[in-house]
Amino acid sequence: MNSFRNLFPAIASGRARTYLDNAAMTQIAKPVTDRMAEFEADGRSNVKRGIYPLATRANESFEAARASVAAFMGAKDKDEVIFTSGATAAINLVAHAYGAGLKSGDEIMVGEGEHHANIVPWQMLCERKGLELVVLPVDGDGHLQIEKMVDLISDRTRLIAVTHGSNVTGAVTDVRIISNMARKRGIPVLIDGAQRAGHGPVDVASIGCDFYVLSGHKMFGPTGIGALWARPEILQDLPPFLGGGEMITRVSFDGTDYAPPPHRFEAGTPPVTQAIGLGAAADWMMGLDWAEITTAERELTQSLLDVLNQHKRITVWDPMGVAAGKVPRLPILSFTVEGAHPHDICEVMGGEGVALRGGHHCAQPLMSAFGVDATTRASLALYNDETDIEAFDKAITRMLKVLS
Amino acid sequence: MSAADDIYDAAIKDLAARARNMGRIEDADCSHDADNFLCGDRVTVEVALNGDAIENIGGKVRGCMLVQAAAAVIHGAAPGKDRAVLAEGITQARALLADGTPATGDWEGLNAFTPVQGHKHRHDCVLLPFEAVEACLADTDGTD
Ligand SMILES: Cc1ncc(COP(=O)(O)O)c(C=O)c1O
Repeated sequence: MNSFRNLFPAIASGRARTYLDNAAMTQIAKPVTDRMAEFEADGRSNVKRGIYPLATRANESFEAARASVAAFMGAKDKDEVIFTSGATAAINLVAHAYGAGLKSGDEIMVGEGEHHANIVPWQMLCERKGLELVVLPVDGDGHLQIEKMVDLISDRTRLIAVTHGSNVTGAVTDVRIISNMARKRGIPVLIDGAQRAGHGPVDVASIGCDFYVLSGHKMFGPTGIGALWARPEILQDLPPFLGGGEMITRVSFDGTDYAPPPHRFEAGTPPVTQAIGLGAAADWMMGLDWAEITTAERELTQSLLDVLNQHKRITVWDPMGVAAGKVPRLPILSFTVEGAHPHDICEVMGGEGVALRGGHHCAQPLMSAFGVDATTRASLALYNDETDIEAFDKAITRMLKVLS
Repeated sequence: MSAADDIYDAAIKDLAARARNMGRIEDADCSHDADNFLCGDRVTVEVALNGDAIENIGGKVRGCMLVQAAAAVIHGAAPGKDRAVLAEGITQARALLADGTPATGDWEGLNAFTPVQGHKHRHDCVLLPFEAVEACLADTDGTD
């Protein structure tokens, strides 16, 4: 049995029996809930301004969590990391704060295969400021066509926002090449790491991007928390997005001075416990052997593909032409079944104890590019093992019979 | 048998297959797209009226088997009837799903959805085509 399973109560108990919906939300790790419970029981106090011992300790725990997340992301300094409520909130923060400096006619480039979280905030910004949204297309198997980027970049391109890993196909974007090409032209790059973060620490320095976002609940942490890393030179000059307490140095009716980053972008009481949980998730993940886990995840992905490829009615929307192990990819895959709708597939598979997700996966433009309305998605995490593949195999056979 | 299989019995499958016969209507008096924003399913309905009578119903269903089957029930029951029959249909569909009240009269076909009553998260699938027709007809209120 996979040794991680014991660290995830819902997996160990069988409540989340064959849990293959990790791209939507991973289960939470015991070291994370332990640290959150400890804070709630023994360390709870508001952060940022208290000077009694409990408050100082709470603040230290909160800032230590920030440092853990910064280390997880490869940031040089913890103050380059801003806590948000998730990847969506982080992208909206950038759209507002960085977007404030953009002018009518400026352009934002996004990938065609993005999650709506990395499309809609930019569309809204475009509407507010009269900007143009430029779409970098994907090819037939869901890969971003990076070679088209040069032609699509103009002297008005002000930001390129792409995902690190697709939540639909598992395709991994070559974010280094994109960042490198953009940097040469002085264009900042935002990477949506929501999916990638559940599969090991990242390194913003070696990627060379300018913004990186992630969500706690997809990396064995709690819900309601995420993070934005931003290059400090950019962060320094950005105006705040939300106003309130904790983000100012001085307020009067003549004017208000804003606090330096990261506090300028964290108005109000932050989700302290959740931030501490995210820090615990980052610490726990940084202690793992990701080379080994990645190999195991790839083998399991291949096994999932082998199961699906046995059946003529099934088409896998696989960005790598089936070769799970040969190219970088996340252990996420989407498939369609001739004559069966994804919701019906998920219903039957769910009845067999296999948790999958069916629908457009908040990536309707990608669905349109594929020419489908919806797919069924299986996504793995480090606690999945061969027993899950066996259950998946059985449930697929049964589903094909029920939905014949 | 798994907990989910009861939904996918022969009656529902048969209805869903019939949804394919629902063609498009070129000169419809109204058309409406209804979306289930949670799952992304979409029903497009087109209704041709003759006074207060429903002459024909057509459209396109992009959704699960339950959405298709419900569209087929409407397509089977409504044409040739007064538009008020649709309000009756949606009332009966809601009652069936809420507490198992059997459907009667023009809407007896709805009884195929009895097993869905125990699957609350799928009730919206059955209701989506009804809501589409309801909204479609509302667009024509006062115009004929
Ligand atoms: C690729 C990607 N980006 C962004 C998000 C949004 O994350 P959240 O809902 O945690 O804000 C998701 C969530 O599914 C995702 O898969």
